[in-house]
Amino acid sequence: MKLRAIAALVLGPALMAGVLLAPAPDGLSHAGQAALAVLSLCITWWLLTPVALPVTSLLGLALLPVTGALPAADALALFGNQAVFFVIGVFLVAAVMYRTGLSSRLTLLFLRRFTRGEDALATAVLLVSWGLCVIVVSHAVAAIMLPLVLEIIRALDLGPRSRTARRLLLSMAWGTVAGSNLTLLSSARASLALELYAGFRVDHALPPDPIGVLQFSLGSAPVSFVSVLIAAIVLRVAFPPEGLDLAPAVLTLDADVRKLGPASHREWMTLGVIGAMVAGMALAGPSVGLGTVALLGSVALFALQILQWEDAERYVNWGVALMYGGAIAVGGALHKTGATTWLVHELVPQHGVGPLVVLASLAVVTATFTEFVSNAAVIAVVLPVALPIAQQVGLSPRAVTWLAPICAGFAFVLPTSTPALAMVFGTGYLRPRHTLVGLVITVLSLLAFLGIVLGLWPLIGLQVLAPPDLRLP
Amino acid sequence: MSSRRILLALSTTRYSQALVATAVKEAQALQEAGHDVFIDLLYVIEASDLDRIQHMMGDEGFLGTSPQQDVMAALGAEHHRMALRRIDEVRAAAAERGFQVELEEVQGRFVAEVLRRAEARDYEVILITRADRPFISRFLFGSDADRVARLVKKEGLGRVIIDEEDAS
Repeated sequence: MKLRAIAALVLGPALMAGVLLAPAPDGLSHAGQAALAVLSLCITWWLLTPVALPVTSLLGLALLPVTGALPAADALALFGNQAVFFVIGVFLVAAVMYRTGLSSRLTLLFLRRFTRGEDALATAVLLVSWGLCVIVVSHAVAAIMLPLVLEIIRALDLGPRSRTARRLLLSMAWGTVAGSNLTLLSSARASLALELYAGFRVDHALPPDPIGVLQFSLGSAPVSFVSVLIAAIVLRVAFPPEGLDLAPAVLTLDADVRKLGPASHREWMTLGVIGAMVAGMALAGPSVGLGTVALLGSVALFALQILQWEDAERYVNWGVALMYGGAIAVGGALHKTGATTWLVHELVPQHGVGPLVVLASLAVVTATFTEFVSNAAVIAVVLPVALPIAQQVGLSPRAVTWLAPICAGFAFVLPTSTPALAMVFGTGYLRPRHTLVGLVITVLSLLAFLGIVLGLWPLIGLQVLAPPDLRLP
Repeated sequence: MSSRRILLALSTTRYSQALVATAVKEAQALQEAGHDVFIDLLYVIEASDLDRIQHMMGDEGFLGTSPQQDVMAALGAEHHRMALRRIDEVRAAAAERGFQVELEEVQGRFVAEVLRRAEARDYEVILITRADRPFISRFLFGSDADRVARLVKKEGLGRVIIDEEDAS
């Protein structure tokens, strides 16, 4: 066992015991203190991962009643929420796109049209990786794209120092990273954020204003678009064309397209069901819940024999449901017990902190955090604290619900940040210094994000500052 | 005429053309001293890198075993192709001067594989490349190349030459 894992296994419970056994501070209930104790263990283990992320979530869920934070029935009830079932649907959509070969077909047909030169090909890889994320979760897009990109590199017989190979690989990875902010289906973290906000809204008696699929994308897609544009420009500057003859790549792509043959009945049905699912989420999601629509769509995939249960087992790691369910339960317990409100009152000065400074700070902290840990863990750790901080300083908690998953998606730098970057750095083509190019994209994306938040969001009805009547006294 | 062996260890993340040139120069010096010279080329596909990627795909990306296997197969094929390229380059450099090259491509940990190979045969010189890593990472977590050098020296397995990886 690694030293880091041993340290985390000791440190997590020690922190929890320390918080639990400390003298009760003024204004914090015993249940609130217990919830903070559970959170301290979960944060330590989510960040240092001595065990898989879902195991930590499950432990947090089990510790809520054990420590007295919440009665067992209330804690377990928090687990069964819309986000968990929505995430199941998101991953099943990715599984069926992968399994039927529909995603590969769309990718190949798109790439085949852009083989005039290296600029066109690299931009096509970037755009198709980004665009597929509209309906396929970004990590799955990376898994679909990597073998195709490596096939092109092989066909061109590119060496390990090739600029074009590096550009193609990073186009794939950064396309999926930017694409993870496109829609609610692009990543699971956004639905986690929405559910944590829903719980916070109920516990703080805020007016009902559910966030739908289209509404979310209205705020997030412009950021995603600007990120991919920045990535395209930076990639062009950092890795200019080598003047390669792309004919071998064209032959390979043509052979792959021929191998696929005409689109199957199954692929057309897949398109139909996914189209109906997305329409259902947009139209009926706000009333019956996104999770409900996702469940119905998932059942349709099985009922129409497009997907078999064995496929679902092979293409999805079901730990995702446990991770999200547990994280939402821990976050919910913090709000229900008043722990986060107390924490924020203690930590954040009552006056003198401008909301926009807090907004920028939250964006930078979240984007920094996501380089080192799973972006789902970032949301689970940051958002339960960020929501009451927002309310305290006069920021709209609703706007923070967009901010956290978007900035947790700016994982452009380190191979530890996201599976897509781990994959491309694992090919052997990229060197540590190439992370600096990703840093440039992150900084520019953060600046563009702040510009969009202040300039565009108010125009589409997404207010950054909380109305005076909803601010904390 | 007695025979002498040189071990040239490369891996997925460790390669420098200068090191290949050094290996050839060392071999030439031994040849001029009247020995038959063999260059053993060890190419290590670093398994820990692949394990880490697979782990991230499952535990953080929540992808199932099928996508993980597809990606591992694609990466494995690419690493093998890269190994063949390196091997061809070394062979070409050695062939110009008439040295024989024996090669081994393995999947494993760089330090362990180099030591295993060094213990199996009597080497005059062991040549390794330092992986291209940020200074801070090397300072905090140490260097595999230094570890190999230390262990080889301790066990008396030969002379070690370490080169920095090409920065290009």
